[in-house]
Formats: sequence, structure tokens, C-alpha cells
Amino acid sequence: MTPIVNAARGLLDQAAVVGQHTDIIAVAWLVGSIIVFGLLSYRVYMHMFLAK
Amino acid sequence: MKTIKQLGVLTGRIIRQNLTNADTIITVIAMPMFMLLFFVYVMGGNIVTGNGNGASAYLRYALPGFLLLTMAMGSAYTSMRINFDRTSGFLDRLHSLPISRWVILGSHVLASVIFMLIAEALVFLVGVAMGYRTDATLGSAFMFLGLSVLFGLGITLLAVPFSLKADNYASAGGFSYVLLMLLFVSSASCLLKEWRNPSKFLRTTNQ
Repeated sequence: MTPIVNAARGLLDQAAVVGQHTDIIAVAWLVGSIIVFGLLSYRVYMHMFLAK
Repeated sequence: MKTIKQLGVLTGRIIRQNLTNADTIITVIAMPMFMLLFFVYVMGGNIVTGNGNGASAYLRYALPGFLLLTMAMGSAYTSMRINFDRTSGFLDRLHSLPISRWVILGSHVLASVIFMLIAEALVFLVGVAMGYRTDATLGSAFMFLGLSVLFGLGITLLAVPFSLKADNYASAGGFSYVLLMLLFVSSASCLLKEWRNPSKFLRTTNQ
């Protein structure tokens, strides 16, 4: 969570910019989470739906 | 076009439920506001942030973290609402209708992200009323909005499998409090270098 918080802080407060790498790490974490948990959510949902 | 309309109708239903439910409003919108007020005005003067001393310096440091915390609180209610729809049989009723399968879950995800952004905007306005001033450019503001959308989407999708698998309404949102804990042990409320043992090991594990 720290890179995401730092990225948010850096975007709202230019003086507190932690570094561009923080933004990239944050976005990478979030995009990765969205892909992984999006697929997992859909799989669980479809499994429950098709199991009926 | 029909699918988009279905998505809009179901999303609107969930957002209306959220905005008319006192428990949701108190927990997702009012509670982060009270926490912000408490952290800034009660504890803020005693926390070293590198921005200087006092409540306004702490507000400048902590508000971005509290905005993300607000969104994380919303994910608990997303879990509960999906679980309630499943256990009450509402999802089964929707499945019996000619609706695209992804729309039913997609409406919950979309409504969750929109509601989180509404809550985040309201907490941001409270921060502005408390004296927070951002020096973000228009580009940075849009990037922050994009980051918020990604964050909301990420934690909502993280919540979905737990909400579908949980046995009851109460346990569905339990895992979301782990997310809150992870935010508390990040740089959201204080500088990492100010931490004391035994929490120091979380500085590296929560990266």
C-alpha cells in the first residue's frame, strides 16, 4: 500500500513528490491486482452461476 | 446498447441503495470524516511528518492517505451488498431474466467504484474546509483521479470472490478490514522512519 499512498500524495502535493518510480510501482500493483482479481472474481461468479 | 442500459439500471439501483442507507453513509462517508478530524486536530500536532509542525502540516501530509482509506472502507459494503443479493436470492432472480451474465456483477463493480469516488470527493471537500490546499496541476489532478479509479476497481474486485463465497452478510465484509489495516501500516498516517519496534518489519513487507 505504501507506493500507492506515496503516489497519491505526490500527485496532490507536488512538493512531496516521492519519485516517478513510485507512481509506476503503484500503477503496476493496481493493474496487476485488477487483472488477477478480476479474473478470479469472474471465475468464482461463473462457477457459482454454472453450478446451478 | 441494451446491455449498457441494463448496466445503467442495475448500477443506479445499487447507488440509490447506498445513498439511502444510513449505515452505509455513516460507515463509508461519515466515519472517514470523523477519523480525519480526529487524526488532524487531536493527534496531528504530535506526529512528525517532515512538513513542519501543527495540524495544518499534518493535514497536508495525511489527506491523500485518508482519501484511499475512505475508498477501502467502501469495499466492505460492496462485499456485504453482493453477499446480501446472493443470499436473498436476488442474483438468482436476475439470472432468470434475459440479462448478460457479466452485467449483474459488472453493475456491482461499477456502482462500487462510483460510490467510492463520491465518498472520496466528500472527504476531500472536508479536507479543503479544514484548510487543505493542493498545488496539483490539471494533469496531476486527472492522474490522481485515474489512480483513485484503479484503486477502487482493484479493491472492489478483491472483495468480490470473498463476498460470493461468504456464508452470511456479516462475514462478507470482514476481509476488507485487512485492507484497512494494510493502509494503517503504510505511510498513510505517519512517516515510515518514525515507526518503532515491532512494527518496523511491516515497512518492508507492506511495500
